[in-house]
Amino acid sequence: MKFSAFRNPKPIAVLALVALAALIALALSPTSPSTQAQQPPLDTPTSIPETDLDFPPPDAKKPPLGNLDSMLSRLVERVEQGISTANAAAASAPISRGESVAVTFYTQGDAATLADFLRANGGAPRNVGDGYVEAYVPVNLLVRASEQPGVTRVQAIVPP
Amino acid sequence: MPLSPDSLDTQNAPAGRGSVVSQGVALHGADAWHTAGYTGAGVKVGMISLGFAGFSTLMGSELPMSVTVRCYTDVGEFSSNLTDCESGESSHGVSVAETLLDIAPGVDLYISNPASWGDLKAAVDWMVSQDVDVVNHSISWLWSGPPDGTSPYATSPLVSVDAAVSGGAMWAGSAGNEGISTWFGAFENPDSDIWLNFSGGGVNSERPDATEYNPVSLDAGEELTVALRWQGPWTHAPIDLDLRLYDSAGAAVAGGIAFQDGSPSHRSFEWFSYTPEVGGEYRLAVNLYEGEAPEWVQVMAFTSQELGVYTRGGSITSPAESPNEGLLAAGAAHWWDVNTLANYSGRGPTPDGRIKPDITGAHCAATVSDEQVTLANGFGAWFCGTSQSSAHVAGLAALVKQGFPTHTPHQIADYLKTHAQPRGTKPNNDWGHGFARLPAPPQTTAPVGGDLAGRVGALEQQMGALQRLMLNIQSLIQALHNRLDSLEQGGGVAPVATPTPTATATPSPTPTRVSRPAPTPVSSDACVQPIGDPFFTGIDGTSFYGIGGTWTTACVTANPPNRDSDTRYAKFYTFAVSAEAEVSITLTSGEPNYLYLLSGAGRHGAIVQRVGDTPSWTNTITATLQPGSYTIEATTYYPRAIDSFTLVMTIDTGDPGYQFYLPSPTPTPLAAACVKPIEPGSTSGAWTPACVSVSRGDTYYAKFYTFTLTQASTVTITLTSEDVPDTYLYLLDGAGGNGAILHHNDDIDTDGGDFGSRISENLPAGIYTIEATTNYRNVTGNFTLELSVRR
Repeated sequence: MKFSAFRNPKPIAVLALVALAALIALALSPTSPSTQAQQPPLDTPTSIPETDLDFPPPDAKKPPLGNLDSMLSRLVERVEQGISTANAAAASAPISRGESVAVTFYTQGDAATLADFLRANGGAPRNVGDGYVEAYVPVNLLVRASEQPGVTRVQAIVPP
Repeated sequence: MPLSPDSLDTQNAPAGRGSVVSQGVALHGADAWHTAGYTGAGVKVGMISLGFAGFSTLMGSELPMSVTVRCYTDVGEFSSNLTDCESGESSHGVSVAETLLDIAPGVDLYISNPASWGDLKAAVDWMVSQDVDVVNHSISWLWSGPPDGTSPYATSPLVSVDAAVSGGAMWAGSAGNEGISTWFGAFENPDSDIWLNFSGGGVNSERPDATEYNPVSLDAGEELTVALRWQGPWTHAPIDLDLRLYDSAGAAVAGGIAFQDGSPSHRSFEWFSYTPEVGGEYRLAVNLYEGEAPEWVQVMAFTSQELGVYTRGGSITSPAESPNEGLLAAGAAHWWDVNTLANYSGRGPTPDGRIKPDITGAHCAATVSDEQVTLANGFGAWFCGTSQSSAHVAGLAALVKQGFPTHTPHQIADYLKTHAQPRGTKPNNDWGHGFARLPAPPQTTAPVGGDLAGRVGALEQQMGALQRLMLNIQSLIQALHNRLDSLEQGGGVAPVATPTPTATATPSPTPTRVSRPAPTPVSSDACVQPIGDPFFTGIDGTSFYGIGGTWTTACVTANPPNRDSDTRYAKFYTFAVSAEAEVSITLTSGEPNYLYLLSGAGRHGAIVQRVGDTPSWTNTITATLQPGSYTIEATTYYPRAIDSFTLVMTIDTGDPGYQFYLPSPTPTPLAAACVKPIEPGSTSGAWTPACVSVSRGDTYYAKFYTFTLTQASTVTITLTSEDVPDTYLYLLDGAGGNGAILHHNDDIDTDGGDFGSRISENLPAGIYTIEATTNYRNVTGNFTLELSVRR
């Protein structure tokens, strides 16, 4: 679990109030380390609270990503939450074609079987070898494909 | 007056190498191997690069007439059509190929442009099936495993390295250009919050504010890819770290925030790619989400920008970090100063404590494909980065393979490491085993006597070596021209290239005034030669001399301080000054050298100054000399070293000042044919030896035109020539050529490459003379003079 004391993304006004309260507390009880220790940290890497709600704050509960890497997970989330269309989400991947993104499946199962599954569901296998399949996969197929037997990891293809 | 790569053209260069030759050929000692007949003939080299746009246009000139290809048009889709390799925008592979072919012009080339790890695996398997002997890999990929060089993925580039080496191919790879965009260190967190503190391990202290973030400036539309790796197992990662990017307002705009809780598919790795819509400063941050702080963290940003806090160390990219002994990860040193690394060159150690890179090659050397950029030091830079240094090393490996056909990849790599010129402790995390340098070539078994074809071939190789030497001299000349130009423009410096090489130890010519030195004495000693006439004299009068030479066993040093006198080879060059003079002498060679300035003409004068007590490939003497004769001894640091060298000297007697701006002290009547009246409009003329310059001296040809202004006017005079690339224009007072210089101009627009001349001034009524001349000695040709008068 996350260190709860470290998760505190709040609007700046709230932080300012907390800071003021902490200062008052310090003034009243200057040698109270336990009180200090209970104060939430005021620093963020930018000294300003995060404002982009589209990107989860550092204390946010992480969704179960399964075998998808974080970029692919985020693409799926954005489509599922209606933030992006499949096309737009795919376009943010390093390599994409229409609604599909270029990904690598690592599998302990039969790669040919996985390739057949992808092909049958709108994917386009490109490199198939022992333990892996590189393919274009529609964003809305990623989760189901990642749950195929033997699949241990799905990651976006990043060109050199 | 920057020279374009075209101006480096030579004729009759050996086929496959082309007319523009990398400076790395001489610096890496490939010359001697070429001369001995080793060109990489019969050796197959695979090249993996981003793209090959324009490849076919150079085939038969810079590149060989034939090439075998595996061209990817998309992930998993490839063809054997070269046009498919050329279809993208990137010509990176062409530059790499040019470089490699300069070193090893005889190799058979196999090229590919994989788009994915799977493509790379297939391309390498294909190259191995073609019996490729050397693979050059001038690209980098995201990490695919922990830093020990292992990977759980069948398609990992690390696995491809192993496949190539086990298949018989030595792998030369870029160490990466991320030396100033990598942070590597402990997860320090002094205030016990969640954020990694960057400032503790950073070498860049210009951003003391950057403690819990690491700033990077991005242009709009400039893609940034950042990877994060940390201590722990690659799979079943138990420590959860996140990587985040904030804009300057504090908004999180991108990141890698995968979940790590020890599950099998969880990796100690995060990454993201982001293309900003708005340029400005962005801030990287790393936070601990779950688990104990790791012992080390590695943040690598793939960008042309530097991080606000970087460590240089720990910046070797993948798969160059592989521990495979058949791989050479190549760092990059400047071709004009092979004692200085590019600031962005990837450096070790690897996070698991191994020394990297393995070796260092030259970069920023000449190619046709890359536009020359003139650096602040006056030198030209073409193809910069470890992509080129890797290509140099791969070419050397091909030569070694030809010389030692039974050598395994490990043995070739070991050969190059063993003979690399050390830079500090060998090996170290900056240079690896040192600057790649071939020793003397192995004895050839090819028949010599009576084999006419072989002798012709040998002569061609020697011609090639001479041509390369000339190119080195031309490069130095070019640097001096550029430097002088900048000084003439008011002492400023030329724009610096991007990426920006660091300052070098090579000094620029001293910007002082000069009068020409007295005639150089001639020695009867075959090892002693006059340095000859200057190849260039700037408008401020500084004269530049350039000599290219080769050390042979025929001439040995006359000054053996603490070393054997008869085993260090030397050449001697005499010159004289007729007045007190500021002299700068620079000796550059592929072997460490030693430089003496001796009094008197001949090899046995007293030592005025010497440099080179520590091994250095570039040594410079600067001195103020009294009138008299002097001798330069150019010798080697190590005994029995045979190599070519370049010697450049600037000389300035400092008095009588701007002599070229003043009237000739002894007016010389001009031949009537040299002076003509001129009317507004266009006039054609020609430079011939019959009419010489008054303002620049009699080795410059000139024509004079006289006109009269009856009232004050704005006069514009433009001189252009298609025959002479650089003109010079004077406006003199009075009729004839002996009046005082009122105005002068060299170039209309050096930045725009217009080396014609123009004077535009408001002049009072009077008689004036235009002197139309050249910026080069003894050149003939036609010119056009435009005179415009506005009242």
